[in-house]
Amino acid sequence: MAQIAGAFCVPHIPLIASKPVVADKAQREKVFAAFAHIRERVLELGIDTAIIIGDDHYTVFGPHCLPSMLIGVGDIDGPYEDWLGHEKAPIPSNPELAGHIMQYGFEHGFDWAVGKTLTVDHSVFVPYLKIVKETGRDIRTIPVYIAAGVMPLIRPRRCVELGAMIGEAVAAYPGDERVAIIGTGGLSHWVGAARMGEINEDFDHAILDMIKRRDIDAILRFTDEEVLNESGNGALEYRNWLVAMGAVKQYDYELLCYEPIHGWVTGTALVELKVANA
Amino acid sequence: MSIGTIEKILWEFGEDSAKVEAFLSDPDGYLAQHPLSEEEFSMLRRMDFVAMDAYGVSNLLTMMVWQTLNGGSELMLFDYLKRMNKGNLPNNFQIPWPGFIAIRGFVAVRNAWMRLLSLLGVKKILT
Repeated sequence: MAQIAGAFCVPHIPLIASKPVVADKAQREKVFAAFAHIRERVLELGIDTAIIIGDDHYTVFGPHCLPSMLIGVGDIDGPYEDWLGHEKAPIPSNPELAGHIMQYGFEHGFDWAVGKTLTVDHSVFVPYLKIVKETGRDIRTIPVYIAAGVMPLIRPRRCVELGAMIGEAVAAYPGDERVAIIGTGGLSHWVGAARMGEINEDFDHAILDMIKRRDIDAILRFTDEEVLNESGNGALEYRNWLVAMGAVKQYDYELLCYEPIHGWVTGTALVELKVANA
Repeated sequence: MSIGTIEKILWEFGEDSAKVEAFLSDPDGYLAQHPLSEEEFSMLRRMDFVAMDAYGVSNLLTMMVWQTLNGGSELMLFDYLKRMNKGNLPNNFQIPWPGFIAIRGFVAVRNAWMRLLSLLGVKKILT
């Protein structure tokens, strides 16, 4: 029987792939050491499929079509952005499990959009690169996109419900996959806004503490206006992390790294949500 | 006449370089093809990012567009941020001062050069 055996929350900062050196050396080394630790954990846990929760940045989708939630069920490749400095290439996928999760969602009140093919942007590509590809193993990827970057935004409560549904769908799958769910994105950061480069460490520590306690209700009390004003448009990506939290009912929190990295314009954290009985 | 139409125009610049060229060669004519109010036309014609921000246009798009319209130069991000901050460029990135001064110098010299090319009729610029 399939199970979610691992859960992580990580950044998807494009500069990690395109130009990591603009970050302070000591800080970026801590981040890369944390990614290396996650890769070790992925191998230790026997993960064979990674469900990566990303959000579009007006890259993959345009104003003509903005899905609230979308799953990629077929061939995938990436990255979409040529400026990431990585040649677009196929990303091994798991269409059987992805199709099952899609169908399970349809039958449980999640009328999500579906990508029969999908070219992923940095929000999925960077975690794929650092956690999946760099293991050098045959680990497959299922991309899920939620509207956490471009208005109108998915409601945070729905993200928790989506995560819970994904967890149930994996548990109901007849295969023996060992799945990691990876919430991606930044903590505080202003993307393209006048305050770009600022970081609100107080917000970052506050939300990390809520994640540590799995205090979803506290996180859901944030209003979008509060987050936008105090922590930037990029911080709205905490929704991606909520999906991962929703998929794992009980976990032990381990903060692998937190760094306010101005060169990468983001409060940067890597977290493992250690799944009970994995 | 909506934020959606503005965002469509900006998004298409990232998707189709021919549209960038068409816009730069005849901004008024290009924008006239779209259903824009006077206010929307004006903010796009002037690339008034502060006005677009207040109007609700996505910062993700405006940031991308200014670099695209300026040949994809990464350093033009700083010119964009200067525009977003009404002519001031705060060092939120905590870049060491020699480097930050060099960036500010690049932006100033590049903008002066582009204005000169515009005066000579060699290149059209968005003002």
